[in-house]
Amino acid sequence: MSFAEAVYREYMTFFEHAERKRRWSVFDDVPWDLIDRCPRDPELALIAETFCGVELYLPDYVSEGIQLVRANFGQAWFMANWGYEESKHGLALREYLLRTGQRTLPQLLEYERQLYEHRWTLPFATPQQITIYGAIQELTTFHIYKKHEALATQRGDALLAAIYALIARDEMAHSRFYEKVTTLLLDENPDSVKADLVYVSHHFRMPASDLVPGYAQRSEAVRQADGDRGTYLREVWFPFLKRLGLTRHDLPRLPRPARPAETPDGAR
Amino acid sequence: MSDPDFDILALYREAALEVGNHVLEDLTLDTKLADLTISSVEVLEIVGYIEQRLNIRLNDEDLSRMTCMRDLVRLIETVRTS
Repeated sequence: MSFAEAVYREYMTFFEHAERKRRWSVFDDVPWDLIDRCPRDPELALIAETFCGVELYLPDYVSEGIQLVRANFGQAWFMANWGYEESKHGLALREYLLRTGQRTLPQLLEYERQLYEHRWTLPFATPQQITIYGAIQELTTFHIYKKHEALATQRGDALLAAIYALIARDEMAHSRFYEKVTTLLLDENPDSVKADLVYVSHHFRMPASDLVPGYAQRSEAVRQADGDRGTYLREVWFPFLKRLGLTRHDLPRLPRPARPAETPDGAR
Repeated sequence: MSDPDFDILALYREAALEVGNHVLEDLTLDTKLADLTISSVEVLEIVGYIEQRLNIRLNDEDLSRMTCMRDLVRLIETVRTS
């Protein structure tokens, strides 16, 4: 079976499961009837607004990503479906902020205006690297949303917790698809994929964290339930490697940076 | 070099230089790994370098729990004496 056919089959499995088991509606499946019991916690609202901001770079994520993989049916159709599912994430968070009265429409429009002054660009150059990045990023995002779901629950905001739970389930499904494609790539060209696993993990950054207005001020609130290096290794990197059938000992070393004295002209 | 802690610190310095040209002159047992601005991949390569030199294998779960150099020294000593 060709790589293209294998990816197509993986996409059909992903899509069938999404259609039959995972679809949710912003209108019908978010428990908006809990609005009156929302605590209107300013910190939770700031966190939700920050995540909403990251999700609102959707036009850039989709346009950049789909162009990169347009020649592969399974990957291109996945990106289209991914865009639909991600669009609901930003929409649900935006509606949460509006319906609970924690942000006004003019406030959100101004926030969006500031967001769209910047463009997100692809952090890696090849479809293979972006696939690996997608697996890592979506799994990291899943854990972040699960932690913020727990935080919202702890602070009595069952509505926001329910939204995070719906989003987290999508993120895990996306991560698993990228992971399956990485496995197919690994079968095709193991050395290249192992090198890219190291390269992508070394340069990994969460998307748009440098684009959301005032992120430095927001980050403390966002980080409260986020993880550190150890959490990344324990919850993302080691499990990802394990599901690929690899350990850290199977990976090549990063290209060693040249020491100043080793540069061609010897200049420091 | 009679202090085993010192040996491991020296080995970590050597590995950090080898892996990523990181010069860690002020490294102590209390140095927090997060303060070293070394990526997770590089930390794992440094650990791999040390494992190879000492002919040991450290547990991934334990590695993910270490926060400072003292944790790494304890991990290594535990493996070497077990």
